[in-house]
Amino acid sequence: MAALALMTAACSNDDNDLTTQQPQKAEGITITAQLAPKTNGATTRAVSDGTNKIVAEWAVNEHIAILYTKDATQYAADATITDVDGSGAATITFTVEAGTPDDTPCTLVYPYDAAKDDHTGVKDAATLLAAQDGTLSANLDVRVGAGTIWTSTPGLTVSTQPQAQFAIFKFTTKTSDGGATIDVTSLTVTTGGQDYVITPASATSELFVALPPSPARP
Amino acid sequence: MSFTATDGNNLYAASKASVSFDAAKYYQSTVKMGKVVQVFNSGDPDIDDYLYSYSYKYVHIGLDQAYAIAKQLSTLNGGAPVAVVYDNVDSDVIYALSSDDSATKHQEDYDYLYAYTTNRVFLATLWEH
Repeated sequence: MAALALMTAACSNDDNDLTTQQPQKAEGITITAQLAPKTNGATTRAVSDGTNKIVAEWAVNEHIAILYTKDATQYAADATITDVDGSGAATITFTVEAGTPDDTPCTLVYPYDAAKDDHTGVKDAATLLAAQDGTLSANLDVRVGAGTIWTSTPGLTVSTQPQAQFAIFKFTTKTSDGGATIDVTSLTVTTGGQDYVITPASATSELFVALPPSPARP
Repeated sequence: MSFTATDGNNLYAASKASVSFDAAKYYQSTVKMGKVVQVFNSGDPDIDDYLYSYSYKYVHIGLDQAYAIAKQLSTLNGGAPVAVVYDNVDSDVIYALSSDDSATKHQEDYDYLYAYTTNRVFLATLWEH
């Protein structure tokens, strides 16, 4: 999967600047920004099974959490993808609290539900991957980045572009001689001392599984 | 990386050598799984013949117990990938799964573990990569 990249909403020589779209409002500051394509293609599905690859794309109405702190309180702005153009670039809109100062650090978490409930960051891998059903969905494509919110001239600067957090596997279960598939009702993958239980809605021999990266053994 | 799975009636297990994988990448893999335990009907004469021919004292275990034992075998291997495999009673061949994902058949060079519980017994092999 290509790393998620944030780019300017308008043509600019600086890909990390996001231009002002709307003035400050009393109830908050609305920022519109554009996200570069994950990969390319249609806008109807967040992730899909390609030939020996996965195709990840932004989709309209997906949500991204913009986590930031204002006056020692953690907030999560709900950035909504309002449009995906033909190149796969997405337009997002989100609103931060009124009075949010310039140069406020933020964390970007995709999808929105992958953010911790206390808005302090992304949920841990064990939590995010605890209830997989073997299907390919955006929930397997968790991404985290970092940036800076600007409010005097509303915009977003990305210092660390959002990166996918997990590897995604497509497992096919077969008998030990490889001759026949086994339709399983439950698959447990153990790696790094952690069990990940995948429970499909119905028995199947093909399961998509997201796993945290595993470093090479020294 | 190790695997256990059920199809509702049987318990399967497989293991790969230590593997590394990166975030933001997509992998496809066939998991060739050996049957850890086959659920037999109590009193099946074939089981009696098989087990007695190897001088095994057997009792029966259920799937949940077999799963727990499979987990124990992994623990015994220091958390490293482990394959616990049980052949069906008809072939006298113990299956182990190699790190390159191909099935191999061995009856030697493995540590055999015998598990006894209140119901059933199964024979498992402990295989280290």
